[in-house]
Amino acid sequence: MSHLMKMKWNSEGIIMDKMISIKNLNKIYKAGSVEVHALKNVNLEIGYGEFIAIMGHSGSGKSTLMNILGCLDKPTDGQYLLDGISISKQNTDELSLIRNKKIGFVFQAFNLIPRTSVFKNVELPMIYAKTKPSQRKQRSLELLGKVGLTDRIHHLPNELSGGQKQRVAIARAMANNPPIILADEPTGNLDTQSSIEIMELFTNLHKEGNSIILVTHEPDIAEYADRVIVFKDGIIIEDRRKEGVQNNLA
Amino acid sequence: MFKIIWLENIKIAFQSILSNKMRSLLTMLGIIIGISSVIAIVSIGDSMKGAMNDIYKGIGKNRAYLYMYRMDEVRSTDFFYDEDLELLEERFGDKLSYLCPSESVQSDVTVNKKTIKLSMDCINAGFDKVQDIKMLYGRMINQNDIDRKSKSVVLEQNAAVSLFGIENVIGKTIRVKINNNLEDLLIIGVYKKEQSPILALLQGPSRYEESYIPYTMPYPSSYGSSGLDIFVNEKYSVDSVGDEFLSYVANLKHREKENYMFYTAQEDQASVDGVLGGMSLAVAAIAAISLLVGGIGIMNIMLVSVTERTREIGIKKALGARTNDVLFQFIIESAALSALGGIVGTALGIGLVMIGGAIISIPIVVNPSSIIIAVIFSMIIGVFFGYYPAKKAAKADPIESLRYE
Repeated sequence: MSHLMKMKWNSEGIIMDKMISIKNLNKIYKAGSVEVHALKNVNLEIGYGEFIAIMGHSGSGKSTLMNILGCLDKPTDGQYLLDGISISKQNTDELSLIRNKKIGFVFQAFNLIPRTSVFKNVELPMIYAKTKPSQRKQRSLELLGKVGLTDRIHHLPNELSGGQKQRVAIARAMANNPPIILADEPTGNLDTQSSIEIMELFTNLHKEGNSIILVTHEPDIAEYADRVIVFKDGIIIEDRRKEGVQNNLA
Repeated sequence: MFKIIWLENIKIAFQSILSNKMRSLLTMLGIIIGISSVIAIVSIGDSMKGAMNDIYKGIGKNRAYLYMYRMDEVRSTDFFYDEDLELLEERFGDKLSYLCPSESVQSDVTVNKKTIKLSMDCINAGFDKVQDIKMLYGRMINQNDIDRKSKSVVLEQNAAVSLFGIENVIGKTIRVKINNNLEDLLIIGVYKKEQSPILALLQGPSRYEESYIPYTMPYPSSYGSSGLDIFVNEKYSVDSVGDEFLSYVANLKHREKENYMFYTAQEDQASVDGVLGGMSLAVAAIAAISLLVGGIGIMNIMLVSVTERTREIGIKKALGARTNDVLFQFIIESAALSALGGIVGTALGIGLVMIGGAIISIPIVVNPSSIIIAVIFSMIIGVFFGYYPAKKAAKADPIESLRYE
């Protein structure tokens, strides 16, 4: 699987082989008179089709980066280009649209909509994308088949096990076929067996050409990724690739 | 800019209402009570108006009374005598369909040790032509009775039954006291008084049983009457004939128009309608306060719901919901809640009035426009009181919301 297959051209005809391009990114939180410099001049480039693990202790800045990468938060300064779009300039509704089209979220706490069927949960991002009902149905069933939950489509989230919930969340993340899946501690609430199943699911999705960004503090989970980025005090202290994996940024 | 996904939002709103059935019901209760009381009160008012219309129809639409009014000193010439009646009949001809001195006599009547109080209304011939009288037996008083001053009486059914135990009492006599003289009156007819139940309700039980006698019988011809009972011919306007009549009488009696009063049921009806309308409006306004309370109840529960679903809002925003998607989801939810309450309240209100109407047997008037107004108004309440909580939800920061436990 070559990264070249994933190359894209923007409207000016320039080849965009970077899915994510971050330059001199800073994030400063103001809590009263105290300023917290959560991200300090971060530079990072992520290509299409990569499987990345972002590691770090709590307070390292990895969650802040995650929120910015997920377009849930805006940087204080610096540049963030996602799929050729400058995120810093967008308003909240435009950010919603970008999240809807470009990012699939998988959370530690699953974050399924309660009292709403598995099927409806998977359908939801497509409702916001204004996909036609017939297409929504087809796509939801296809995705639920892919994560092995065809027999659970009418169940409610509280009737599922943790592993099943996370598989629903992954199916939901894939709904609008986004270029990135952003998974924040996806195995944090799961037992070992379920964790392995979920990570195998991610691995398969990666093999199919999906880009996955994984935030975790567990080294054995990070091992599934091809590239590991380690944060400490708002700075990248390590950016290593697994042996045998081509560095497409080189 | 962005199109709102109406249908999906409506579905989501109803899903959320249905998934919290008990809470939704309790929330709607305020609106249900408010709307049902407003609907009930308005239709009670309308029904009362309808019933009052029936009453005035019973009195006679074209009926009027002329009586002496505001006189510092009363002269004997102010009263109405036979010759006045003749003059008036001649002068007004077909403009009047009935004219009679307005008098009645009360007396105790005893038959077989049973005593009742009897009120005898003095009438002229042709009274049954201008007023619906349901004769059960015999006949009504006619011109011959008037001319002969016949000692005849037409009894109301209840009087007959009270005295004799049977309805058909034609040919029997009753002894009454008129002007301190005892008179034996021959019963020539029995009629049934048809009274609207609402009037019976308003008047309460009467102490007197009713009957009719010829107006010429109880009094000598020298007796003057203080008032006249008039029916205006339907072809003429009651008001203009009344005015003309009043002028003529004032002129005849060398008095001012102000010294007599021409009273019509129509005038009375208009003022009663006004009072009833005003009253039901006032009570409906008070009931509408409960709508305000209901609205605040909805706002309160929507605020709770927004807080409770903070995380859900965060998830939806992360998945691509825009400010307006969240805003409209919650506004539609509260509008649907209160519209549902409005519909249930309307049904309940109409049901209550129907039951009440069936009990006191008056015809129920339900104005369809009041139903439409009630439902639309309750929706407006929902939108109005739902806006603030929805705005709060829509403005929520997705990161904060996702972190909310």
